[in-house]
Amino acid sequence: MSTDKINIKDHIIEALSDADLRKAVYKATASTSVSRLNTTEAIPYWEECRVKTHCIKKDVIENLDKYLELFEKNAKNNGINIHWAIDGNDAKNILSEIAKKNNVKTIVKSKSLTTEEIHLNEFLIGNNIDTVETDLGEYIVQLNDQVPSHLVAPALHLSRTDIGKLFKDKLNVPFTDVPEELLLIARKKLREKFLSAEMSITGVNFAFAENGSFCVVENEANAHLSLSLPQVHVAVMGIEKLLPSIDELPYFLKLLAPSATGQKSSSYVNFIGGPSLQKYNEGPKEVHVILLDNGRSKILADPKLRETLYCIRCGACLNVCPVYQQIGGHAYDWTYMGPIGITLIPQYLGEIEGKDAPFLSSLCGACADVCPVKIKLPQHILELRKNVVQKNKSKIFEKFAMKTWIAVSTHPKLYRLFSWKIKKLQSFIPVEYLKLPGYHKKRSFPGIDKKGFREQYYQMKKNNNEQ
Amino acid sequence: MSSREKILSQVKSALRTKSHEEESKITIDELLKSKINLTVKTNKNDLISQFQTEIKKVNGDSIVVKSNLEASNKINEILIEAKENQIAITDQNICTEVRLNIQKGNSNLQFIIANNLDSKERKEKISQLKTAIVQADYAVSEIAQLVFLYDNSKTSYPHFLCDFVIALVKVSNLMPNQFTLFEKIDKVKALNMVLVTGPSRTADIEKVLVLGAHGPRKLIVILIDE
Ligand code: SF4
Repeated sequence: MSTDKINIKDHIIEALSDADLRKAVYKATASTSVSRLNTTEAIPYWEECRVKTHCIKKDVIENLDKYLELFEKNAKNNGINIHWAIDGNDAKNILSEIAKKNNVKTIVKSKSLTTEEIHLNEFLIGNNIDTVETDLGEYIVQLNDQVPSHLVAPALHLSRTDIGKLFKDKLNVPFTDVPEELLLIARKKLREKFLSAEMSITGVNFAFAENGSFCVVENEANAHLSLSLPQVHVAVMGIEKLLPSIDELPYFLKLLAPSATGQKSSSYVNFIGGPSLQKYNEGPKEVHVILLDNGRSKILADPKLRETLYCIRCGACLNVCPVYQQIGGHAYDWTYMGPIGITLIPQYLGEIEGKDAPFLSSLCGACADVCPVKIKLPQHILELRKNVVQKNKSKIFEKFAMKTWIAVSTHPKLYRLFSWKIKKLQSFIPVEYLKLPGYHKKRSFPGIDKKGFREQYYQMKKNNNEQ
Repeated sequence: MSSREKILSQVKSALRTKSHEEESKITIDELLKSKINLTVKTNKNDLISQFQTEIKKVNGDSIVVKSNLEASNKINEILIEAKENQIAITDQNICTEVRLNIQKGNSNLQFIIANNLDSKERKEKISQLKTAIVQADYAVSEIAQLVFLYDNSKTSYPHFLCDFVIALVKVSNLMPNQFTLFEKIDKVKALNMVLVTGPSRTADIEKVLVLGAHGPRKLIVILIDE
């Protein structure tokens, strides 16, 4: 379990007061959701493919020990060095040993949420290793001393003007807010790094037990350059990333790009099956895979929640989540955000540290509708909420309110009396004075409708009869 | 206890409790297969035109030719128009034939054969070149994807370090979709490969699409229909 401390509430208040941020997040997520819909609707077997990938993931997770051992054996046969890391510290020590042994001064990194999870950059930079993110979005957030605010689009919260100013300040270049020019600046700086780095670090999208290889999916070609230019390559892989064999991959590729960005296919899928320098006279002389647990086996131990390990990190659930759309990714204060984030936060950080996370959902169900591998997110969110309540971590006020609600809502006459009283009461107390949990000066309580449902319903019925 | 033993024992003990998810009684495989099959194009001309339509959508381009000689002539025209005089190329069979054909008529062009350079020199030299000619082993028409097997090309520097890539592929190696590709592909060669769909791209700045993020900005595929 991670020992990270998070502060969701303060971050939410901060996010809600930033109108530009909310606008940027809403615009980006809404347009990606539209592209996603257009692409998925054109695939006539989309739903069947979702069921298929769900079943494949279920098989992998239910037999994880066997697949891990098989992957290890076959990867070793391919000349890949396999390391096992129980947590972030373990993984960092392994990486530091590899870097020391190879006299590494510069590392190029390609987008990897697993390494964000263990705060790898901080560690490497602290050890005097120049560590550079090479995915454009990641490069931008790294320059801005931030972490990604979205699983797929790390700099989604920043405008082109923000990025122009950032480049001017940090890279000493004239200001521009033209995306093509900004990209050219980053491309030039990063090309130098690719050519001089001694080591690269990537994540893993899928690894194949049957042949001991793995693949990295991307659009920019930064992962490819990371994999092929430095002499040492290290892939940090969550233990759940396995597939039985390469034969299952096309089903996942069919779902991943449309769900993530609305593309039919990602630009590049890189397959790594061992060191290539000796064989091809280019590429790494050493390939290492670090199999990271970091709380995953604990998630596996819960037979209800283990389904959350099926996630392929496409980010589709974030894009449709009304809560994420309002507060953006940084408000969650951890690596994973949105509907999948709020199921993972309490599981990784523990129920006390992660007690607020499962409540960041309207339970509208949109996340479950879009999840390519059919994770029943709302069901898991409810389960985690139940855990918080059962372990007495809910506030006395909430408990009292819920008990009152149960009593009132199960007795119609009492309900009518209660709502009449409340309606009357609110004409004496202005809503801004109602200090209800979840409401504050950035988000005021909307008040109770003066007419109420019953009155409106009978009025509607009467109108219909008269017509 | 080593980390390996710890992780495996934790995983094994976690799996002693069975998942709460109900076993699915329906098998989806037959239905899925039949639905996928309905989308498969089998006619050669349909596959070509699908590839050409799809590559446009991902900002690439394509030309269909009837022979390696015609491919050579087309490439020569493109290179003259681009005013290129140094080209990176691989030593695969079609690339070699095309190179020799072009050199016969255009002695101003200098070809740098990536495979002939040692590792360090290859990196330095190819990264300074703008244009590359490469050979794909397969193409997938449904998504305009090219498949490069390292066992055959033994390099990927021309494919990724140059700004403008011209890729040659035989129409006989055009697969309808990735499902057929993965059935057909040699599993040992598939250990090290890369699948490429269009030029490199990013939309990380306000979702504006910009080509040439870190890899090529321009990709032309020459489909050789012998
Ligand atoms: S939970 Fe599903 S939708 Fe959300 S990131 Fe994971 S795979 Fe994608």
